[in-house]
Amino acid sequence: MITILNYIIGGDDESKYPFLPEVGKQMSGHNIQDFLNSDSPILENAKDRIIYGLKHGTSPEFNETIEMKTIAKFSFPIAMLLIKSTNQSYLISRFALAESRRVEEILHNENPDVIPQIFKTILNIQLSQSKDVKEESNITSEFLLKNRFKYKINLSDYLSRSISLPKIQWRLVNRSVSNGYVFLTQDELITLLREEIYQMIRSKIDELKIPPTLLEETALKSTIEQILKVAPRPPKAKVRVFSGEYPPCVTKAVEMIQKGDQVPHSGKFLMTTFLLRAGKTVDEIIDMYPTNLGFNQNITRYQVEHIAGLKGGGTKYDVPSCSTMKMKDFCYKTDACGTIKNPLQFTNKNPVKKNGRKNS
Amino acid sequence: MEEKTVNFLKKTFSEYYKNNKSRISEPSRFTEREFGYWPFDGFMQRHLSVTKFSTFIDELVLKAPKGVYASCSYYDDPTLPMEEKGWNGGDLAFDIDCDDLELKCKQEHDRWFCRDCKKIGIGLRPKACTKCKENKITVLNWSCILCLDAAKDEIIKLNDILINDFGINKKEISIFFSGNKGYHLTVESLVYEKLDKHERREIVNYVLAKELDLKYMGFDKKTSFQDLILRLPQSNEPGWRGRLIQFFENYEDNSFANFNKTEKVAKIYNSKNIRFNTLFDEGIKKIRSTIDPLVTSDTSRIFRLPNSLHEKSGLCKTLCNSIDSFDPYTQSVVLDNEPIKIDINFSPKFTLKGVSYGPYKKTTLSLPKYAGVYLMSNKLAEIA
Repeated sequence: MITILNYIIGGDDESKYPFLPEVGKQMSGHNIQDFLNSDSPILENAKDRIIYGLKHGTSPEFNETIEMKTIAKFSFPIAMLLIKSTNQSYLISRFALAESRRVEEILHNENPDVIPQIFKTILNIQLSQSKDVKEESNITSEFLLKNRFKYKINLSDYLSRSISLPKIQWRLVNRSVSNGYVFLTQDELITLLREEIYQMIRSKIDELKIPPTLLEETALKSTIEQILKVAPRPPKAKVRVFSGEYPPCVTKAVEMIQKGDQVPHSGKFLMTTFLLRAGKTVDEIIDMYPTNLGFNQNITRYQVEHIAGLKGGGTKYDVPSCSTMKMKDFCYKTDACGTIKNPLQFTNKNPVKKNGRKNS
Repeated sequence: MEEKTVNFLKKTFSEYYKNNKSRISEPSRFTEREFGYWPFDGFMQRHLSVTKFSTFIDELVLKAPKGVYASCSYYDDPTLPMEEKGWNGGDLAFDIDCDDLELKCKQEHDRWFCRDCKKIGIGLRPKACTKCKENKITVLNWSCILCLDAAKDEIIKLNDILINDFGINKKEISIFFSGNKGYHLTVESLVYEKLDKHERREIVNYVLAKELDLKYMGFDKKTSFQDLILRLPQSNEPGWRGRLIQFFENYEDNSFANFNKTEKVAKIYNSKNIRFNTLFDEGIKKIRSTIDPLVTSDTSRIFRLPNSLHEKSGLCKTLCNSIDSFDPYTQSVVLDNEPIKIDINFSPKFTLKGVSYGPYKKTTLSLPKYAGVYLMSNKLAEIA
């Protein structure tokens, strides 16, 4: 058991949230080969978990019995190992998305005492239950109850996350803000953090190092083959981008989106502002997003239209500079970039002019 | 402006910097900030870094610029072009300018001047000169104590929002009289210094109550009266919800005298005699703080340096230790009262250090230096 703040995370939580550090510690006490023989219920469960998730878009819950809970707890890291071994970015994204959706569903009904501890542990976000702030003069229990506000989050933490959520309800001006905190209901909190839950699972898979010898294990190989046999094929985006057509940072953002990788807000923003300046229409940009990959087309459309100045305050956004992209950790500079200061200055055989047209 | 006037102002500004070296204290983290100055006879110089502040002041004595500036942002290397400086965060900065407040007194004290026939008119600029019909008009955007009191009200509302809503400590907030037409407020806070320009724009929209949607405050035309009463916020709720409800509760209309506060707000919302959206807009204007939206979200902007002189008034950008009692036309007058002779073209009435001057029509007068510089900086007079 692991004690975090004043809540004790126990066995039940470990099966629900198998990415908690405690599960990793328990795993390290085992020889991984023990899980990778064909008789292991954990290997079988990991395979089922993946296949179900790839097909249904959300992973199943296995929590009927104590035994199943233990299996579910350990099948998650094994499933991560299996999906990583497929070496298919699309499947990895689908699996991470399915797992994050399973977690979201659990969190919607979770005990409010657990939520801050879970988010502190997995995302290092400082949250408080709003009932803890009743002593503040203008926060009454009546106000919290009426609005179902269970949590408060630091204003700067809120801003960095809400900025990419298009609906007007997420604008700071439409929130209850007091003393540097923004108040949220349980459902709102989970929506606000859903992308990070996905990214956390995705990065855990990306960081996983698999010894080459392990890949030779017969049971592992055979399980991967079974997964690949039934796994859905990656959808095709309607619009493709060819290497060298755009600056490497823009190309990278487009490639990541089309592979189903999670692209940070800065990358999507860069790609959209750049392509709009390159003369692409809103519809052409939306067509770059593959369907069936968890991208909500309405949200994507709103975001693209917002950046194009067609929604919200009507502000038309400029393409961020190279130094901004460097600061946002989304610079993929190559020799072809030379000394450009802005991705718009990138020149190649089809250079993009600042007026939005291409040179012929 | 004639050359002799420019030379006089340069000399006056140089003497001010020479005699007030200790008054101009170094900004925090000054080595990480970009500095700039604007000479009387040249272009703005930017992208300067300062390693020793006293040397920078010596340079001001020598160059006698009309404006001195420092960035709110902190950089790895402030001397590099904007794209390469390496942004490391910045103060949260706000600007309130009385010209943005649509004040009635502007009609009374603003002037326009026809460069062709020399006619001087009162009030806002006409499309063409009312006398010669030429369009060679220069505008005098004057400001008076009423203008600055209105700007002060806005800065007080902003201060209240920053403390109560954003939880910013009073000690992290500095309020300055800009030296001319309004107030600056800067926040030096570890919590907020890393906000990027998009996040700062959200702060701007919050302060301006822009995109505030009644739907998220419980107002709904489809719901019953009883349900509306249950949905509406209470006046003690935090943020805009509480402020706006307070505005409606205080709305003066005797026909609602028999209702309790929440019922009154619901009645106003459902009233056929009140145009609710107009009242809502009026309420927003009253309770928001009218900041310049571009300043706060522009992280590459440089701000006038505290205790430097303003080229359009000769007054000093001054820290307001107590904003309520701050008198800009006394506390920011820093030049001496040595008499100087000036040729005045025209001038509305103005008050400095408690003494009223004007209004003047074409005349030559001897005035205290601070008053003479005030008129020359406003381009209403030349040194005689």
